[in-house]
Amino acid sequence: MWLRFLLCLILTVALAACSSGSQPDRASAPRVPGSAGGDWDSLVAAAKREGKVVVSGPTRELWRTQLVAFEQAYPEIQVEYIGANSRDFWPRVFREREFGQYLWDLRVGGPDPQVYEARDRGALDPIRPFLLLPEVLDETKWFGGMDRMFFDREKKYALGFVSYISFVAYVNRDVVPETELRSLRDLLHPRWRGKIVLQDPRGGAGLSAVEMLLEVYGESLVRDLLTNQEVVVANDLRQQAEWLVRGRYPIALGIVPDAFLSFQDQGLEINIQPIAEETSAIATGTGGLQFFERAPHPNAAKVFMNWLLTRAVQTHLSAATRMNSRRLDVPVVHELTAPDPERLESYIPSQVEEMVPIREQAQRLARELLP
Amino acid sequence: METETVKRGFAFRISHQPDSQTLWCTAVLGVVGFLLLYPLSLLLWNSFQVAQPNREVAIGLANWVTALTEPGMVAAILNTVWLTLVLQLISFPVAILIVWLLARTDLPGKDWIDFLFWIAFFAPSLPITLGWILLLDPDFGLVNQSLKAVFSLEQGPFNVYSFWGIAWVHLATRSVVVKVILLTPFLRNLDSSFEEASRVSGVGPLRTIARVVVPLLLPAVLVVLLMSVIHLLESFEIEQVLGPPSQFYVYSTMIYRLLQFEPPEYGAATALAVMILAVMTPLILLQQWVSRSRRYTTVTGQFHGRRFPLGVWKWPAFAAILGTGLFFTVLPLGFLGLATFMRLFGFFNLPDPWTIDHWQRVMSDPIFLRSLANTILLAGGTVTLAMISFPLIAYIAVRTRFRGRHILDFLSWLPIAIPGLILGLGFLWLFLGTPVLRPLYGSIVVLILAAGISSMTLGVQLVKTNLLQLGQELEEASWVAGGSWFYTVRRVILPMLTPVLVTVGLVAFISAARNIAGIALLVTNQNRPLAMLQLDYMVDGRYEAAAVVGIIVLLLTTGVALLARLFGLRIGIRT
Amino acid sequence: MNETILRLCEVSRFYGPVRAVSRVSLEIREGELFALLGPSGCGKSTTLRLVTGLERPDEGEIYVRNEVLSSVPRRIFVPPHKRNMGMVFQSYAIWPHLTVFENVAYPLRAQGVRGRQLEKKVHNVLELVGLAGVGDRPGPLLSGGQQQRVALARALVYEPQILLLDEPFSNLDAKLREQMRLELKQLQRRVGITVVFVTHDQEEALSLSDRIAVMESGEVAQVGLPQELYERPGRPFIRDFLGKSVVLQGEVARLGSDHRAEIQLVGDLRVTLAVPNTTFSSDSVGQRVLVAIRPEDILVEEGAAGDSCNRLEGTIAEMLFLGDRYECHIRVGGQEIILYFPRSTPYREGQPVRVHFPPSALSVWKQKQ
Repeated sequence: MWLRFLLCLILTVALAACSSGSQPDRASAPRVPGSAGGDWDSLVAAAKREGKVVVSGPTRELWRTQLVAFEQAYPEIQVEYIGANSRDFWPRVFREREFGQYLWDLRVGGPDPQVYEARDRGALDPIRPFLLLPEVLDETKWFGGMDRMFFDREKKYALGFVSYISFVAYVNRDVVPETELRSLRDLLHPRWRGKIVLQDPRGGAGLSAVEMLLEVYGESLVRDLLTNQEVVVANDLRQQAEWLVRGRYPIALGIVPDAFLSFQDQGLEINIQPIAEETSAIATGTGGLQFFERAPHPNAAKVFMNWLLTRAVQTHLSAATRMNSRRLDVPVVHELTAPDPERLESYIPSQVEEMVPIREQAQRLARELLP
Repeated sequence: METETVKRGFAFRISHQPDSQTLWCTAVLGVVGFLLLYPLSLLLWNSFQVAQPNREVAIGLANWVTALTEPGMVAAILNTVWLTLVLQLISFPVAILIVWLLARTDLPGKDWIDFLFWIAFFAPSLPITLGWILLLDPDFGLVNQSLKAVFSLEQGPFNVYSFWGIAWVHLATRSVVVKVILLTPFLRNLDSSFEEASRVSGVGPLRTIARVVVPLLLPAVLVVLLMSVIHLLESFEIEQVLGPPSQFYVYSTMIYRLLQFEPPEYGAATALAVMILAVMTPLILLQQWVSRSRRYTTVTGQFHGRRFPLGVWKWPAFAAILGTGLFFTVLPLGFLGLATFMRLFGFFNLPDPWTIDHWQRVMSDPIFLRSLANTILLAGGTVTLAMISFPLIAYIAVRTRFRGRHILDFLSWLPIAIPGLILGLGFLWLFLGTPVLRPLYGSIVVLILAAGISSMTLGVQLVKTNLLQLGQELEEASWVAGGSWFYTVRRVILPMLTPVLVTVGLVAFISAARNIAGIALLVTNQNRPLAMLQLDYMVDGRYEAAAVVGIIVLLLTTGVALLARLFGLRIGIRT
Repeated sequence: MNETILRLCEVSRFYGPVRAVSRVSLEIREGELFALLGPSGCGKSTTLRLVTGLERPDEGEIYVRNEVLSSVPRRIFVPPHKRNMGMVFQSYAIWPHLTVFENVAYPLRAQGVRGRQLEKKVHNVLELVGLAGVGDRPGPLLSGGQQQRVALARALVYEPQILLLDEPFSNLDAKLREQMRLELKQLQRRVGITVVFVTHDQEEALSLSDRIAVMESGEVAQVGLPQELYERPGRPFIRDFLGKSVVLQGEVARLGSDHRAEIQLVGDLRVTLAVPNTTFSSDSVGQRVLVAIRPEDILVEEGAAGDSCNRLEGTIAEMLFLGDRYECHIRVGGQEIILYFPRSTPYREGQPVRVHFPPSALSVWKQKQ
């Protein structure tokens, strides 16, 4: 009886396995050859004929609102927006593509290692050839020029349109005044044992903080910090921000300003400042863009990516997200984290592909030292 | 030789080929087996695929080694075992006592007090956890602060960020309440003569519960305990919030953290999940064995449903149960109210702490209405699917002589033993990889199937255990009296199963409405339910908005529960 | 003689290696009250379930009149709900979620009967079983006796050809049991339905039935009228199961003329009993045998006068008062036999008595080696 059942099972699985995989996808448009240098208007016309663009991006409502506003500029093109975490998004995309489902045009998200993996798997098409609008192509309008806008090795796949200084540590100065804690090295002082909260260093801002410490101060400081200072690991941004604001853990590593600024929005008086650094990281956070290979609506996608990078859109976007745009002709929304174009070379771009080995090393260290 | 006639219209030919019942059963087994084993085997296979630095994939045990040697794993396992034991030891006796009082005695108000426990069950647990932090935070907790003031203490006595804090929050949210809900239909099905016999021989009510009621209900008790243990093995919300300061991690946190890596380590996480299954298997087999080894029939054609008179204990018991019920509802609802009407949850010292802003923003979110509609569709669809398939599977497992019935029973345990996060990936594979199902990818049907599979274990086991309580003669009497199989099901079996079906339906409804992990990889713009919106708010740090969504789901489910109650109370065993 | 309504031909049912029912053949006539009698585990309930179709036979055929209900060689099986039989289960199986009325109406509804006609039939049958006016009560709130009547009403309401009862009275107390037995018999006579019932109570079987089939270990041991079975049991098992017997051991001493044999009792009894000779031939002399007699056939004589054939001397060892009579234990030689005396008996404990075993009341049984 077991044998019969097992046989049926194997047969079923085999059937399913055989029939999956090389299926023609159902809704793909034929591959459009690169229209680099083509006419903008004919691109827009082609996009309107496609009628739709499928975009995945951050889950926050304000991102959604800002990005769906594309429909106001181009009423004939509908934006299908799905908010998803990169951790949930990329595994899913990879599986879908394995089964011949090509469902996405664009991804708005930071250039984390899964993006580079996607490029390696051939899931991404370059963006750079398809930037057409003059205001987008103007080198002088971008912090560090257009080369630095792209985070991948070849400088054409993973774009970042935000640039902000990603400070390693923020301190609640009502609890810990400036005089007592001045630099990152001071974090090793026994006085701060049990007072530091680090965002989950498995990814995201938490990992970036460890990555920066590793890069700038070396492995021994990181080891010392993570082993001896009883660093508490927070699992979500709000919790970490609240602990910081309430002073339970007055020092927060790997926190994004927006997390505690929202407290201020609600009327709470806070005094939270970053620890000054000689060398700071610049990041783009979730403000990145990738273009999918075999996108179902490639022309609409190209129109969208250009639209996203225009001054008007970047202005609205940065005002809403409180993240400074990489465009230099967009007003700065958060002074503290605005990088200085004069000191361009002093910043470390923490999310570029060249930093990935350091990032991985930081991840390994954190994994080893933090239970 | 007399001529013989044969009622050809009714008789059917037996041959050595299986008859129609066996064919149906095999079909069910095939479908269920496929839906469960296909994703699981793919997941398992995936756990043996080790990512190499050059982006190649090799086959090996590295993922398993990683999983087991993850720093803190041993501590996490010990914490889990310890937490499980403590919670079960405390919550089970409390729950049994509550259920017994509600179901078997003449406690006043028993018809509506149990509804309080349902409301408690529907309430979202995260805002309530935050509420308890508000009360029991060692520095800022209101209870601690007032005790400090009153008793001039240096330090508040309670620390919610500790083992006992975590245990307390578990007890105050789910542990007791779930058991009460799940055990009630089974206690209702007890023929009172068992307890009366015990009383007559001079054994008091508490010992009667321990010596007579619990053993009679052994299959149901084991199912509920097993479920509680598994839920605990997979719950991490509370530990996630309360664990970090004391570095208290549990098994499920380890699984969750593996998936938080950039990129997520599904292989190692699956290894850990499979190990849950391995640990669960002997317990599941034990439960199966116990169910088969004796007869647990308590509802026969001579059913007596008399109530145990409480006498002088009536009003004290009423006060105690009502108090308990209110504790589980009023306090959480209070927290929920705080969470949604305060600008910042727990910050009373703002210039203007109260607002309806969160409600406004949530309800005016463009995708709110669509999400609400999707949730109703999803939950409703799941319940429909559940009401058809779970009793069917349970019936095959218990009442037929189909040779695959034990396998079917075991299969029904699988979904709960795999954490939702992993199951979600499995579902993705299932729906992408099966030609029949692929066209459905992206539709609400896929979410319904996923949610249905997720709640299969509880549903099937509850119905199965209830069937064990019903004497087989009640069905046989129907057959002999001229009822065909379908007629018997419609007029005898389903009505008698109604109380448990109502429970199963409501639990399926709420778990579909709340299911995040299992469907996260399957949502699209069209089928996004409210649960995903809630997750988005959480990730964004907007606890208050998330709490608003939680309350909306609570209201929705409570409404459905009220309807179901009215319906269910009119059917079922009359006592 | 009425024609056969239910026929079982060589019906068997196995559970693995165990033969629960083994090659049972029965012919039950229309209108009779037929009992399946035997100890637990003899297969009587299984046989009943085979008749209803709740179990499937592994061998044999079952007919109702000329219709095949089940035939293993021809691979025919009519499912239970098409057999039009009524059954009362041992536990009555009253549905707890329905009222009395609905319980009884159930078979009619299943057939599609509705409205006035349904109500009429249900009320008629409730009256028949003595439960008029109880229709609205929920099932679980009835007493045992009432539940049994409801079960009966439910089985009769659709006028089946055959009524089957599985140990119908075993759950009732003694008084109710006797009352229900009588009522059942009266009901059956009135309605004229064929009744097959299963019981382990021999008194019940003897008093109620027109014919009895005694079953042992899955087989039919003997079928006959109650009196036949009682007076002329075919097997020791039946002899001991029905009623009581006094059994003495002995040896064939001599074969006499006029169909008589003489049995020498062993033990301290130096007595020879004359018995009717129906089984012995000349080479049976010396064979060990058992001699059996019913207690009520044993005669007690005063004094020592008269014919000494088949008489034994003994003493009354104990007399137990049973209310309506005395159970008397008499020591005869080294053995004890039991007799019953009426309440007015003059005998007392310790009194010597003479017991007389009339030859015509004696039966002889070969003793197993």
